[in-house]
Amino acid sequence: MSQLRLLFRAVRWRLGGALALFVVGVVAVLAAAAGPLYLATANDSVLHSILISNPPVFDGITLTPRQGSGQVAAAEAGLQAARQYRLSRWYSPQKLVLDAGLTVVGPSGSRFGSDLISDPGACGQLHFLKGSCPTSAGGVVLTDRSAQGLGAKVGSRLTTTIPGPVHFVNGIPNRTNIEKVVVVAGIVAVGKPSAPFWFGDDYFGFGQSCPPNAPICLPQLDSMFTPQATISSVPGTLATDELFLKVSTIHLAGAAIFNQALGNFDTDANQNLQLDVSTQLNSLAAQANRENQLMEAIVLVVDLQLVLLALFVLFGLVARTAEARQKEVALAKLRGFRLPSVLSAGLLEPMAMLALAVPVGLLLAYLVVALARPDLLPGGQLSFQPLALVAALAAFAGGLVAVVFGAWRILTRKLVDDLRGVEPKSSSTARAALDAGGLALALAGILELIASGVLNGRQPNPIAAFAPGLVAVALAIVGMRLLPRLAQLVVRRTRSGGHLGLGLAVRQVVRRPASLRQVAVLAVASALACFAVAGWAAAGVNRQVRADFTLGAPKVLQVQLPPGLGLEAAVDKADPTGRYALAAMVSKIPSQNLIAVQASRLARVGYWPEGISSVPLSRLVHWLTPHLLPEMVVQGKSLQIVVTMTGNPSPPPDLQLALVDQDGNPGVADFGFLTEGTHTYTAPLPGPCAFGCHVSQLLPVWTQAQTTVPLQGPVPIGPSSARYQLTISSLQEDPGSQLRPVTSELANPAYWSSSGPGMSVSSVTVGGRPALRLSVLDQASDTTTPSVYPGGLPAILPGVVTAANSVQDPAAASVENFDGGLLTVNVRYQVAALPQLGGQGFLLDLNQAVRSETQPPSLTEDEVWLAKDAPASVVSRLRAQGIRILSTKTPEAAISAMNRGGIALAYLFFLFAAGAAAVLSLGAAVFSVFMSARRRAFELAVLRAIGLPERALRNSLLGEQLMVLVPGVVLGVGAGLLGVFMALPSVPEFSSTQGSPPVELVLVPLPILLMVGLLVVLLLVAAVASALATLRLASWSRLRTEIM
Amino acid sequence: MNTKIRGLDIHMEGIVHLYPSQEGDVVALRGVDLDVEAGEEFALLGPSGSGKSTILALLSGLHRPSAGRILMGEYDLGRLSPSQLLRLRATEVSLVLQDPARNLLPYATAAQNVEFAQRGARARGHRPPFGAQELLEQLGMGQLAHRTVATLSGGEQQRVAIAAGTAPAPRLLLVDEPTSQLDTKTRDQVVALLAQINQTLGATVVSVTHDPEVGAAMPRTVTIRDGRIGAEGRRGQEFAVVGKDGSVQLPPDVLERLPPGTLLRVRRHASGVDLLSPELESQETPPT
Repeated sequence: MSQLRLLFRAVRWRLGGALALFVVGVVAVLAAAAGPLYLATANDSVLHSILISNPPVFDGITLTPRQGSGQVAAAEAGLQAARQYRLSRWYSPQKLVLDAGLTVVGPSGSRFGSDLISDPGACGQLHFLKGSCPTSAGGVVLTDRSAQGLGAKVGSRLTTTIPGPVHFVNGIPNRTNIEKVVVVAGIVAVGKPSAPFWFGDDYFGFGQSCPPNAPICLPQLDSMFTPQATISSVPGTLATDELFLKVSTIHLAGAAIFNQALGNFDTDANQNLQLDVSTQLNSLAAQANRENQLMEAIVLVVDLQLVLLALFVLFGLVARTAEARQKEVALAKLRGFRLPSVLSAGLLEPMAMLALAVPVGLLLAYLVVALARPDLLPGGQLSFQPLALVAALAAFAGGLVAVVFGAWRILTRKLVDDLRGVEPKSSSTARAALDAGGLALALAGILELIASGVLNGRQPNPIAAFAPGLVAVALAIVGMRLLPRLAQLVVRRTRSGGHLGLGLAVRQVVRRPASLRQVAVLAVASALACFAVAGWAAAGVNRQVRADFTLGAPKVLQVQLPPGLGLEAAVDKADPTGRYALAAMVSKIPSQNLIAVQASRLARVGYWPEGISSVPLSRLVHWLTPHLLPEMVVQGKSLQIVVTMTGNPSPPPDLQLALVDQDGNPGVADFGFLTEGTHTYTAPLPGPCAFGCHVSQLLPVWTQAQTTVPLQGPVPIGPSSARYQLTISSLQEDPGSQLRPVTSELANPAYWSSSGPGMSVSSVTVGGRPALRLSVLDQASDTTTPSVYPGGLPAILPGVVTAANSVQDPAAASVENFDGGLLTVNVRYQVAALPQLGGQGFLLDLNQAVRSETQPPSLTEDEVWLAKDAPASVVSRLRAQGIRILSTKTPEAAISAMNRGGIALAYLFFLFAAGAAAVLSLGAAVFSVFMSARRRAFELAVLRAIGLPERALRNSLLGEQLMVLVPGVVLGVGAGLLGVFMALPSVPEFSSTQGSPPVELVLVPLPILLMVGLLVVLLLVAAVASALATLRLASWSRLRTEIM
Repeated sequence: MNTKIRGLDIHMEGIVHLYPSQEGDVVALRGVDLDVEAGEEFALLGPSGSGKSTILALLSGLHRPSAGRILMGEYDLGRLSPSQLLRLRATEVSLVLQDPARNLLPYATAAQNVEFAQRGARARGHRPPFGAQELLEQLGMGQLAHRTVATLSGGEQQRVAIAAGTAPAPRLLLVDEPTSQLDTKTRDQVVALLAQINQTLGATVVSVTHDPEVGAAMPRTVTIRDGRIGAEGRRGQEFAVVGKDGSVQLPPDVLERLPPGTLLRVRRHASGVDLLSPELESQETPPT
């Protein structure tokens, strides 16, 4: 107890030194413990960020019954099993969704396609305009636009036809449809399909044309919502269980229990309940794991450097403060203490400070991470980490070693030397050997990093983060050895000059090169800070670039078009200048990887960073921009054509024009069978062509004639080919008033391109006017009909693809168009990545892609890209055309998501760690020089007593501080910048650089300058404060009593 | 403090000590012969650099003599191992350094300093017969026991330093310049303290001082000059000492009149001898 009291008094007596030891010890323990704590929390946060950034359908579970019948019962059993395995701990809500496709006939008699949906809680997600949520079977909720389309209102009775199951009667398939009358109970505003509640289901596809492979293609209404009882007993109703993941309950700490429960449920549902269990949680977890692995490597490298630096500072500090305990050690030796007691006299105090630093450092590490958690590590769970304790104890052990080494000199010093007051002199040979060893190790480390390819920048490697520290150590040692030599040069100059303060300062630096060790510490810390700031700033730039490019433009609106409105035309109308908006269409089907934009507006509106392509964007735009003849558009009720046929094929060909309406729906204008000679034919146009349809093909359809099969003998069939000529001298449309020519390009053979070898195109003159001649050779064996495309439809579209597409023949690569048809693309250029598509995809001009469609596009997203300075009027003009904006995307969301990524969090840790290292080493350096000056307080007091000006003394102290501190910072910043160029290309910026803009290694000067400025300010303040404090110590009274 | 300790007697024989230096060895002691009785209070006098502090360092086992032999009680210092010397310093011999601050923990109280000084002895199973408070009270410093050393005056610090030196109850107390930088009154207090320790504890007390007044207060003094034993004194009276080799070291004031190389005539009589210088005699003879 008495020893403890004595220790307490000793600590109080040397409070400054003890506190410094304690603080450095705390920093060492904090750094060591914060690493694992931060990592664990950040890992959790990364997983959390990934989970919440994905829609619920990705991280949730979808259970789909495999059997065609009994789906509802199977799905109910699935929910029962989920309850049994207590999945509600992690998944809630869990709901059974029923979907019955149907045809609905409104009061006006119009027929539409739709779906009857039972989704528990759906009413809570909808905004009721009229009526209320139906509670009994037969009640439905319609969206306002569906109600308008149907001509229905609350209380209207709608007849629906639900396709019944197929059954066979005498081997013939037969389907009995179920008719059901439903009553409109409520009318709601259109919901947002992207809302999490809908679990990825788009129930608001109004106006969208029929989905692929639909047996009947009807105009689609938004889905109708109804209670489960309405459709649960209807055969053919599709049932799905949707289990929403409670992201906040998912933590790495409890992953084992979660995985086990989920695995057991999966097995049971798959094997016993015949349910397909679908979730992307595993791939999301794998993504998080990839991020975390990179983050772990960086954080550990950084943490290790910080801990080593802190231990080195601790060593220096103990060595520096050991002198104050020298007397106790000497006294212990004089009193004949045993070795443990002598050690106790020399080491107990720093060891006690270090021991005290362990719990405090641990606590602070916990608090720091806890404080950082809400803003920087959202969703991360901070829990006790045994590794943090181990790391803290390891830092403590390292600290003990540092303490022992730091106090070595006073412990091993001869008592006689102590009693005679002989100043301990460390061997210059030993110092040189130490420095040579340090330099050799640093250089060996750098060479190893270079030789092993870590620094070649081809492959990201977190180990590269060691480079700046090693460079700093090497440079600092060289600088440290040179500094006294340089100071000696100054000494000569100050011999005759009047700069007394400077003269004293440089002499002091030459006299006590031991204090120059602080140069090394400060240099390493400054280098780490410089590298961290430069890396963080560069990473910030890259995140911005990636976010901008991922989106394609500063702002992207996801829109829904009203029927009959073309996206491109709408954008042209909203922004006639072409400076603020761009129409884009993106495929949502992964196999398509297609994006089409208004190429002519791309350069002004879109974002295209350097490095994506070696040619300028203007060149790409030039390649993509269509240089096509105008489309052949027909509009009206009917068409009239004048055709002269020669060759009289048998049977006669049927002349047709393939049409596509504004919504992309196909149609046909059929002129009927042609007869030899010149005749005028008329074909009615499909209804939507009242607003205009473009001609996608002109084709004479000829089929080989067959007669009825005779009882005996070969089947008599007609000729296997037909050869004839068609001369089209006129094509006119009838808008309802009078006929008018469709296009002036009709007779231009260059306007047409044939689809195959069976058709050739030429121009002739009929009655003094140009006419189009088609020479046809139709082989019955051919699978395609000879036809011609009008000039507005290029057979091959120019495009830009990403290099990862591995296009074999750039002249004619095949890609699935938005409508599902095959498109031939002439690859004009290969780029590193494409907006929104990333590493794999095709970029086309929207106009060309749309013209090439012969079917309505399915599963595409219509987007409007807006320039940064786009006025609000553009959006309002879009809305005025009936365009509905489903969502607005900005790069900020992507940046925010990336900022929560593993690498970003690792950089953040690096930044904090480097800042802590810089402050720590600056404090240690100032403290060290202060202690050195304090030892000379008597000497200074004498200088003052003999009349040395106060100013000269102050300048000498300040000069001495600055001569140690400034080179440290200068060398450190230099080493940091060198480290940036050497190592930054190899430090991972993103977990994957595939399909992204190349990482830019930009040196952003402002943050570095700010960091250096901050360091210089801190340095000056500390130096001035230290100099003044030392001057106060050098008082008159000091001359009477020596420093105890 | 009723315990009486048996002091150590000292026998130094032909002690020579050299300090090595880059310019060549420096001779600090040139054949010193000295005997100190057990329980004696004794002071070494002499100017700075005469070698008196070296004698203290030799007696405390901090140095080993370059030549000669030191016997202290049952110990032959030259034959003791470093650990035995440590034990000796912990239990039998205590050295109080010049400048009290070097003997004390400035942040600790006087009592804590005494306890600290006892720690070495206690660790070796040698239990001092008195506690810190008891010792301080016995030595008249009870009122200082709980005061922090840094707050004590120079004299008080010196007394506490001597008390700390006495703390392990040593058989030999070595005190280096105990009265330097002290005023007369305090000096007398310190001298009295040393006498008290010697008388009440029974320890042999060897002090080093260059203050003749301190020497005058000591029962026995030996003057060291140029590394040799000079004169010896008893309560202020100086005596010449006949060495083992028959040489006589004269008191310093005598040496001023009779510099080395002076021829002397020896006149014998019943109570001793007179040394007469013919040169001085001729100067004193009045002209006839």
